Amino acid sequence: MTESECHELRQRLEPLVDRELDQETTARLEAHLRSCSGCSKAYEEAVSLPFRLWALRAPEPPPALVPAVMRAVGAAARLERPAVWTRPLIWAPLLAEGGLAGVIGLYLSGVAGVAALARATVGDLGALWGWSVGFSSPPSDFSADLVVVVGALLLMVVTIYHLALLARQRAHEQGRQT
Amino acid sequence: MTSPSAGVATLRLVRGNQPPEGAAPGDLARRAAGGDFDAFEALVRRYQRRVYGFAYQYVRDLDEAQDVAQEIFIRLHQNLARFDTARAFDPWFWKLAANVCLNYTRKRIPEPQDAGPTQRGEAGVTDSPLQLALGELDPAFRLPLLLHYYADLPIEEIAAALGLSSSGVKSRMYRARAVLRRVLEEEA
Repeated sequence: MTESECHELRQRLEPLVDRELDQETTARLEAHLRSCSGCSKAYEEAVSLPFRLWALRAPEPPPALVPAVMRAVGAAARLERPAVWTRPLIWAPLLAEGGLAGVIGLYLSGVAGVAALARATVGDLGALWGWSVGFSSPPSDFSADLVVVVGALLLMVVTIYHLALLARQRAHEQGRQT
Repeated sequence: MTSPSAGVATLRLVRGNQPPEGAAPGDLARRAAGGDFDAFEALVRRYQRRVYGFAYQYVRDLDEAQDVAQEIFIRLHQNLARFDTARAFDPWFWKLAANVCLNYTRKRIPEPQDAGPTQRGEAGVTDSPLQLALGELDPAFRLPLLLHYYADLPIEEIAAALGLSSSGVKSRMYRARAVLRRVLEEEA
């Protein structure tokens, strides 16, 4: 046993453990291991290290990990989809809004009432148009108050909807830039 | 329904059939690439323990490990379309995970400091001497070790993932193991 043999073995311990050395070198180093207790102990440590690495344990993943990932990829997927204002389905709620407005009108005035209000509104609009072009005096009263109220409500809803679309458009553009 | 919360459930854009428990990762990836969020969630749930553990062994910090693990899964989702279903999923996936770790190291401003016993202690995590020694290793040496011994990636796949030759990977692993042995001997 010489110091140079010990040095060589320490230098080649890992490839020796992994059986990566040629037969001659392996035989020489194994012969040295049988005669050197210090190197033999180091060899045992080196042999056990890969097994200890395989057995490494880590803390449990936090419960929030999966929900956070799904939120992130969900948001990303939504940004990757075509812009909402390019898809016709986004206008479907307008049909519901129109239907709802009709139901409210029926509930408040009945079919005859709605028809009368509609006729009155047409008449008012006609009178306004006539007044604007100088054919008649301005209409004295607006009997179609309910239609005006419902119209205002619908206008408000549509405006809010468009604002929401604009906000989403802005978020979409920012997402594309980042 | 396996969704963890209503908030997550609302994010499912496409609802496929529930993936079977034993579905192969490659099959889940294929379905997820087609927009099946249930399949993607099943994939995340299946790999979360190993990915989080891998990230933790790499960054040695609980919060950062969650960030890295999350980034790995987000990058997985972004790259699902590039996965070749004719090939094995694991090598491809761990290569992506390794790249995320490398990028994370490059982007991180302060050099990794020991998060200290406070944070890990709060989570009830006790590091073994080997884990502490591993944490002290240079990331260039730590990553091949983790990919091989933690993610079960063969040398050739690690070489491809890290842009090294196979002999280069072996060389780094041998040096890393030698350093670990020396540190453990000194501590003993």
